[in-house]
Amino acid sequence: MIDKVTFAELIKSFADTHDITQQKAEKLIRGLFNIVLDDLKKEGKASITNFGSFSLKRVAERTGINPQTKEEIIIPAHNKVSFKPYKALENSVNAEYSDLESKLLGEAQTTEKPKAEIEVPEEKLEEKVPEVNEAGKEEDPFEAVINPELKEEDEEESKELENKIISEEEEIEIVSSEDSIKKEKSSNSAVSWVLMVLLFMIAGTGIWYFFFRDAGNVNSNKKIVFNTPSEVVKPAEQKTEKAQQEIEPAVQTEVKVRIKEVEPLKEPTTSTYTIDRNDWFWVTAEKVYGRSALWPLIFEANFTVDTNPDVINIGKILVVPSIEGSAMNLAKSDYAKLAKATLYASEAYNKAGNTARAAEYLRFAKKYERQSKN
Amino acid sequence: MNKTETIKALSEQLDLTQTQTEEFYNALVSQLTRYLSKEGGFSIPDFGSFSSEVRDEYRSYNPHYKQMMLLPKKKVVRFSQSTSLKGQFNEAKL
Repeated sequence: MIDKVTFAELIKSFADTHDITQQKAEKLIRGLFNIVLDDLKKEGKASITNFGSFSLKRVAERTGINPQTKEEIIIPAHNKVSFKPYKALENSVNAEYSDLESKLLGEAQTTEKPKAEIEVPEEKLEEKVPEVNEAGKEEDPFEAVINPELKEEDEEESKELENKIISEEEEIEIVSSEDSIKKEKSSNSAVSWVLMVLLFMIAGTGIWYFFFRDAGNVNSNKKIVFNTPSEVVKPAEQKTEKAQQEIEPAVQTEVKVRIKEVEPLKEPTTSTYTIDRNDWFWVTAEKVYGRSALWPLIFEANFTVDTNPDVINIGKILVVPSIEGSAMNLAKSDYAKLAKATLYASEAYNKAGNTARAAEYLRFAKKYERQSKN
Repeated sequence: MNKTETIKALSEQLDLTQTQTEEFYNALVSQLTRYLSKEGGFSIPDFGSFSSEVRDEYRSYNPHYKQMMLLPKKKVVRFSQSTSLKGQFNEAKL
């Protein structure tokens, strides 16, 4: 390692390369840092242009170990001057390694990172669904909830459409035919916009409903939701009310059939999940529940205390326990379960030799226990 | 204080014009930067020491991609405050 430059060397080299005496160079450097010091005392922060900024920070009390006597000592809370280099300095210092970039571990995802990420859980769900549901319809759980609402909305929308088209026809008598067509088109596009917005809202409620099922599920459903508006809007563009009415019932019956097929799916209480690469427990929990903090539930249901929670068993099929509330709003019984599971995870960490993690999860467990009682 | 104010204050202390002081100021900052990037760093008495060190690559969980990521090697600046500087901001001493 290269040694640091001492203050004397700094002054000498600066005075030699510039037209300035050593005394003045020293005065300049000391003066500059004295200004920084004064600013720190007055405002708690200071900066040197093109170099970096200084700020005063409060360090909380913590325990440490005296390296000589190995005794545990309490380091009291104190103030500390911290330095943050500006981008120019940071880049200049890091010039050597500037070509390096951070990369994703595991799957080869260089270009379509976010896409590939989302699609992975989606595929898994579709594989998973047929196990539970004999009807084998892929994107169903979501539709079951949405379609009853959707149906009503569609009917309302179509009525609105019809009304508008009728009013437009009345105008034709007054305005020339070309103009009326333009107006119709514009009104249709306006209505289709309203439709889109409404459908988004429905999709939103649906997502909220099925949030705990699987995050990936949402994507496959969005596609289907968009198909329906296009069916409704197209007939409107054809400007024939009859055609519209013909298609309308067709959509409705289709919807009814789907609902019938789907209903048995609402029953299952537990589902399964196959571990893939990079599926640490918290990643799995994030995919399954939408909240990574719930991973101890999965861990407790599938592994013994002797397992190290930081090791992945690729290909193992996991049982995913159900939760009563939603991931973000857990029921009291869920908290009780979670507290037990977290305690279990803490024990597992202890056995794996990771005592720091074990202590951390012990704290979490206590927190969940308190929440289960409130 | 911003750069203009700093230079004004320094020029008064050094008996130099503000233009001269600004030249020296810029030269000083670029020299300090060079010390950090080419040498190990430098120290200022009664203030602290600046050093640069290579931080090894490390793994971290990226919540956006929901995946572990490998963050590359990087050379970073470290600042270590001197005891006297620490004392000035902490009245009660051990």
